[in-house]
Amino acid sequence: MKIENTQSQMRKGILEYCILSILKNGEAYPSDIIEKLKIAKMIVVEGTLYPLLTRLKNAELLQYRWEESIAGPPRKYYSLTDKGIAFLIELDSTWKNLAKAVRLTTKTKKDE
Amino acid sequence: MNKTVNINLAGIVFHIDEDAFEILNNYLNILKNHFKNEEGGDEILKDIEGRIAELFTERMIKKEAISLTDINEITSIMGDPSQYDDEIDVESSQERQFKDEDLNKGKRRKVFRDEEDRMIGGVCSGLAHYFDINIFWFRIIFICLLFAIGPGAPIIYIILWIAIPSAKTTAEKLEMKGEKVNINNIEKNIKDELNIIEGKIRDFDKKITKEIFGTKFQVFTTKCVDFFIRVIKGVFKFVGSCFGIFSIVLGGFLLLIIFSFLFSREAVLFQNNLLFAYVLNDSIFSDTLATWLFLFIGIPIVAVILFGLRLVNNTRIHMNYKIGIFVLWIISLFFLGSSVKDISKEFQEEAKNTIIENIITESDTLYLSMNDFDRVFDNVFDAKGFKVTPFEDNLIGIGMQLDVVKSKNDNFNLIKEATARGKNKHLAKEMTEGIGFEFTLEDDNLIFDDFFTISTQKWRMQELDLTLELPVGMVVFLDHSLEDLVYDIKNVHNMWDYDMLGHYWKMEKEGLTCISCELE
Repeated sequence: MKIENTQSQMRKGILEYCILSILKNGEAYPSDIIEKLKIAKMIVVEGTLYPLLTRLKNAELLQYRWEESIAGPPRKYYSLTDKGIAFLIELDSTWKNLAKAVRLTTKTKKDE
Repeated sequence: MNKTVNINLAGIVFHIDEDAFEILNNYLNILKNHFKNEEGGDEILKDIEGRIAELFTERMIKKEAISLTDINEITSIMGDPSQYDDEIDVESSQERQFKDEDLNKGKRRKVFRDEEDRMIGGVCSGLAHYFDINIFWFRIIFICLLFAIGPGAPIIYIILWIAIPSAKTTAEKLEMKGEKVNINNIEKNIKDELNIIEGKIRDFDKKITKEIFGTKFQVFTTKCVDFFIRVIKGVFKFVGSCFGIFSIVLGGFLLLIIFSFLFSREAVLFQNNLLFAYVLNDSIFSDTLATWLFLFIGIPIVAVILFGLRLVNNTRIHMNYKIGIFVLWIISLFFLGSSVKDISKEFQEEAKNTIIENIITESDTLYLSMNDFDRVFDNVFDAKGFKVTPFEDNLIGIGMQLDVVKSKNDNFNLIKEATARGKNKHLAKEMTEGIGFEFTLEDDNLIFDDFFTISTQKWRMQELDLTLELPVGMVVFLDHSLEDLVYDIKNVHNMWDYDMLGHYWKMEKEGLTCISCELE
């Protein structure tokens, strides 16, 4: 069993949760999202984000609008759809449960 | 100085260095391949292109053209597809299907033409990939076919050319070689892709032509010219490889011949290598000499073969090997030279040995003839004018010469004058003493042997001149069997040697006179 597999399993889903969470505060364009994810060390390379955004958009969790940019090509500004908001709320509770579970299990180990 | 090209990325035009463009183009192709089976793949690609354009724009504030460094930085910011998979291991059912499909593809090889390694259309190379056989053999087979079935072969080739698609995308190139189509392999192929920059540039030039001139006519002309250049190049390559194969076959054949000629005791192609045995002093020396001779002749032939290989398969030999081979050749030349010098020393001095034998007969007529075994000493020595030949494991002399002159006294005398050469006078003399010649005398019949013996068993240019001294008033009959023996016998009629045969000759004071000829 490779550590990388387990790590990516853990990361799986969390990245999507993070993206949706970032957009909870309002619309953003990919570079903003990348910036935040990079600071959080959730992603290393930018290319990772684009397929994810498209997938989320195709799942109708996200929507976007075009906005002209002075520095470069027009930008896509992403925001959550109603479905996306509902999805995020579910994820929030899932995450809380998970975090609690992790905290509990790790704590138990420490105490013993 | 760097050539720059213009590109349109997400609607914005950029100047980009040519080398940088190649990397970028490759990178985008890899991404394209990665996302091609994914829903919304085009959109993802466009987003990424947009982002790259944005990063370009940031950089263009300071300078005019995108450089290789910029591209390398940007591609490392964007990352490559294998990294995406590490970061988001989202395996939707769709994706799993996609991967399974890839695995299946990997198992099954597909026939594509390999345009990266082509002589004409890349048919041979494509088939070679498919059957996993070295392309060299496929080309040999094709050339052989060409000779075997004539004009049918090019037709087969053209049909295959049309029927088999060329491997254009990285995925196809991998399928062609039967490798699994996955991101890592595509990555590995990046380096390979860089090797076909030339081709990419050509494609790009076409695109540029399209952009700048726009008219279909011009694109058509470019294509035509391109096609013709390709055909002409193909023909040249084809002729080159024909010539190459010819060189290889001929060279190999020559090497084989020379090898068997120099080394085989039971020489197949030429009936001896006895020259060495009878000329040189010991067999070890003759073997080393043969080795040097083989190198001396063989190395240029090997060079021809290598040249042929280069034409056919573009096989290049490292400079060090070339120098090594050349040095070896020079060494062989040196040794060969010194051997030749040693051998020539063996022939430095000449010696003569004369033996006079008294022939006692009561008759006044002597019948001269030669033992006629009707045998032919067919041998290299003989053919090349050597006066010796190996016969039944002995070296014997042939080609004696007979002259008839006036005797100074009243006796029949046979003078045997042996000539031979050696390293010094003494050795040459020894050689002459090793020469023996027999004849039989039965009443008035003098019968010569058709050879002389060489007891030393070494060839040192032995020759034997026979002179019969005939007293005045005596007669000789020259039999037809003396055909090869008589040489320049002076007579009063100035008759040719051959015409003198079969006649009686009387020694007068003036010289030999024919007494049986019908003279005009």
